[in-house]
Amino acid sequence: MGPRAVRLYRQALRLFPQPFRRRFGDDMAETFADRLRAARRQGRLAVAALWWRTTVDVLEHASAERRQAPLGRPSRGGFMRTLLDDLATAIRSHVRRPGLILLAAPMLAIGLGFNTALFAVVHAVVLRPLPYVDPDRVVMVWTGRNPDGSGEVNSYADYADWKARSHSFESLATYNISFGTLADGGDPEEVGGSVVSPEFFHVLGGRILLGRGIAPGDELIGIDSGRPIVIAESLWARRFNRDPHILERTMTLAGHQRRIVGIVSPEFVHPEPFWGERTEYWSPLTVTADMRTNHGNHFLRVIGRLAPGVTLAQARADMDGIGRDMMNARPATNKSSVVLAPVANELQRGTRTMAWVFLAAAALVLVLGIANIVNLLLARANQRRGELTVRVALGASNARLVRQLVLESTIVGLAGGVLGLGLAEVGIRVLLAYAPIDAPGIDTTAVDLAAAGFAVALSTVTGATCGLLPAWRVARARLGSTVGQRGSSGLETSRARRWLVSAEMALALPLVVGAGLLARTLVGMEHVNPGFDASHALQFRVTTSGPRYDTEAANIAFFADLEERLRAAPGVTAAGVVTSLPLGGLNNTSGRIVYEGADGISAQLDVGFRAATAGYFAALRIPLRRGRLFDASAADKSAIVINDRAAAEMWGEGDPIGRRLRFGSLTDPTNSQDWLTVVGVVGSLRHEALTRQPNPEVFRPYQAMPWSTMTVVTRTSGEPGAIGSSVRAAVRAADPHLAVVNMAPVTDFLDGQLAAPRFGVVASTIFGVLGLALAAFGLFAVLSLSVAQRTREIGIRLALGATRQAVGRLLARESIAMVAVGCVVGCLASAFLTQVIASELFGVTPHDGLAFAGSVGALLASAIAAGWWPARRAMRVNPVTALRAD
Amino acid sequence: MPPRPDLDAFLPLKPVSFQVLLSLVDGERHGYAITQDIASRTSARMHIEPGNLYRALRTMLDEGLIEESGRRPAPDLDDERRRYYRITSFGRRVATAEIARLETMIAEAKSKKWARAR
Repeated sequence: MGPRAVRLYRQALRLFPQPFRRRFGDDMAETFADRLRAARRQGRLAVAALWWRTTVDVLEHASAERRQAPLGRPSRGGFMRTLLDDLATAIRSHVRRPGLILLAAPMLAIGLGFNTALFAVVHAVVLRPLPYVDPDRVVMVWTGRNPDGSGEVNSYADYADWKARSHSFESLATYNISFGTLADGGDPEEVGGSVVSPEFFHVLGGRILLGRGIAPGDELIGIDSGRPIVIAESLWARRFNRDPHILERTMTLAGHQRRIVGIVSPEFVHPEPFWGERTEYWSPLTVTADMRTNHGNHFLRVIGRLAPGVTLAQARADMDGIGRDMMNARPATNKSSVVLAPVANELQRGTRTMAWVFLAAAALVLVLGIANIVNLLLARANQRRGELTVRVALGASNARLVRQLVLESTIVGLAGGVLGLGLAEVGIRVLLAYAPIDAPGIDTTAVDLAAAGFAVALSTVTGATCGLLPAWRVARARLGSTVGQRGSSGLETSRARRWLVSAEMALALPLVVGAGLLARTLVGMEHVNPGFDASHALQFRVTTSGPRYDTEAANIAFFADLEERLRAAPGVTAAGVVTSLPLGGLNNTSGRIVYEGADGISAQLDVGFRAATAGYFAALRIPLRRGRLFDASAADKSAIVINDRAAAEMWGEGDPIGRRLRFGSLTDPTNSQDWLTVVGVVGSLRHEALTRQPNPEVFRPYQAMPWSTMTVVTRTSGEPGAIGSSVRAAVRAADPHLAVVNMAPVTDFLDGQLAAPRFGVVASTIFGVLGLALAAFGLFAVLSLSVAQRTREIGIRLALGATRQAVGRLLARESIAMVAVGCVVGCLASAFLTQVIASELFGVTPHDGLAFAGSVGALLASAIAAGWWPARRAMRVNPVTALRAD
Repeated sequence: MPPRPDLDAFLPLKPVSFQVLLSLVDGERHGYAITQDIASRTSARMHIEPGNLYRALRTMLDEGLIEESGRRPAPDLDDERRRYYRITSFGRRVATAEIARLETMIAEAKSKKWARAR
């Protein structure tokens, strides 16, 4: 039983002198094995206690035996021997007075645990290279940056220009998200995929398990004549049972027979920074005539591999030049130059910022822990002046004293590290369960060897650091001190401890301010009116597929029929369809329109456009402001409904009803799009994010844009989940071959928006409370010691007629200085540090007065709480006892 | 046997040594059995860690208070790597002397009517 434990013990026995080990080693190991067996019967706690006792025993008696051993070989390991002696002394000192280590180790463990857990996250997500060939050379190209920092998607025409004119890329690919219903190998299922240009797999470097990637010319093969498709290993396994002869076979996707030409390995990570769903197929991107010429049609991602020898900076300069040229040539469509960023940055964008912010917060908590322990050690070193002076008198050198004190604190650090590892393990589980992090590799986060090594290294350094200042003071004080002299050094020490407390307050304040700002952000977001009523609404997606839906009329008929059936279903009060829901993460339809201005002159505007039925507005309770909604008639095919943002942009205060607009841009003389007439204005809604202002949007009736994939929204008077089965039944009745995808209450989208800020509030509150508690503890410790040391002085004051209130004031004066310095410095530090999280804030500035005032208030409250007990003790000093004591 | 030094040189015995001798008075024991016996006899007041025990055993072996026993229980009963210790006659005499010393001390204390008064 436990052969590994016994082996470990045998290793530890090497600390004993060799003759002793030869004589008793086997026997001691046997004894240890017996005791381990006995302890294991009693449970984990007994085993832990056994290890602790055994460690102390071995260290203490091995060094004692070595000292006693008559033969000894002082030349060999003289340093090691004294080191062992010092280690044993340090351990004995902790065992005899366990108060310090019992208090200090958990305090350090909090900081060490947080840091270890975050290290594990960073190790899993940021430090792990993406599974591409030379991932450092892969960059994403964007038309610009959105206010939230995400990249703005590109038009095909721009991509084609970049490809033709730039000299920085070995190859440049473009792609877009896609999805379709898969009919083979089981129930119909909607799968997510991507349409890609032929360069795609070359840019990223293969990872093809079987067959090939998408090749030039694939897009020219007719969609029903076996156009090639590449599928993911997961899809191959799920739907085709890993059939080794899958290549060249066909599968039915979105009603089309597609020829499978390759399987992509499971390690491949599709470079999609927005799309939450798995990408399981890659299909050739077909390029239409409009795509080639329309620079305003932004919907594609672009990714490139830098040419050999080209640096990112050179590529940026090259592309910026091209981007500026295009801005000059086409000011209407090209409003910004080009942004280039390493692919890792784009995929881990959210996680990176979050990881850094949290790492900084965790570092602050650790530093606060360190400050407290330095504080305690300074006090302890002061108390131990007697002991240390005796050791000096017995001939201990400075180096030896310093070493021992540093060893003592290193042991504290390591004990904290061990506890911290446990905390990190728990922390990672909590983090993975609750944190809204979606980054490649996040699920591989664990306390592995690297994290354990990090924890040990950090705790050793931390522990040693804690001991340095007290040790340095002892070493310095020694120069001038003699036994019994209690003079200035004690005073100096207490001054250092006061500075430490001020520093702690200053460090804790930014943590509290951060928590306050994030809480204000969350409250702000919860009160945002998204422009629609998500409650009682249930949504899902349906994609028509199969030969039955080859005509537009069939699609129109199907969705009309489905709406009818849904409205008739029990519990449903409204139903409608739309191309993409607000806050649903899909924003793939935007474009440019030309409209007849108030003064008769045409102008253009970028808008989001959707196709919908009138039922959609009812289902989400989007208010009609003016005019009417369209109906399903053929006559209304050229009707359009716009939101009030679009109305204001285009016609200001004027009445938009009856005005005309059409898709396309002013610079396109060949625009053959039909003119559409505005029939109604609806309220604007926040489509992309709760934190983003509504965009101008236009809605066309579904019969004018009969897409095969539509989001269906139903409204009920009760719980949205309760109508799930009747809704499914309605879809089945309309067509049993179609899949109901991602059915969920619309409130899930709102929750999805709030998940990150909620997590931020919880996490930052934990950090803030810990920071305050640690700083308050520091103040408490300093004041308590001050009261203890000054009992006599207080006694004299009282004896001479000072009131107890005066004593209290004395103590208050002492703490006010510390707290005030901490507050001022802390506010300055916060003003600087909150800039870092400015991008995470909403509805509140980084210098929000309320958050700052509240945080200072919390700091003062915790300072008062910390000072309460010492002050009471001081006021209750009995002058008679105090004076007799010395 | 080499001449033994004066008994008094060993007195007072260290508490650990004394307890070890008491354990071995009943018969031979191995290290773990000694700690077990001491723990049960003193109702766990005295917990002896192996490092401590074997250092005491080393000293007592060197001083001739105890010796290693060549005997082993039946091999199937125990691990043969275990060493057994037994008390020497000299060790017995030292233990007796220690007990006598302790008894004298207690008698002195009692004669002061102090021990009982407490």
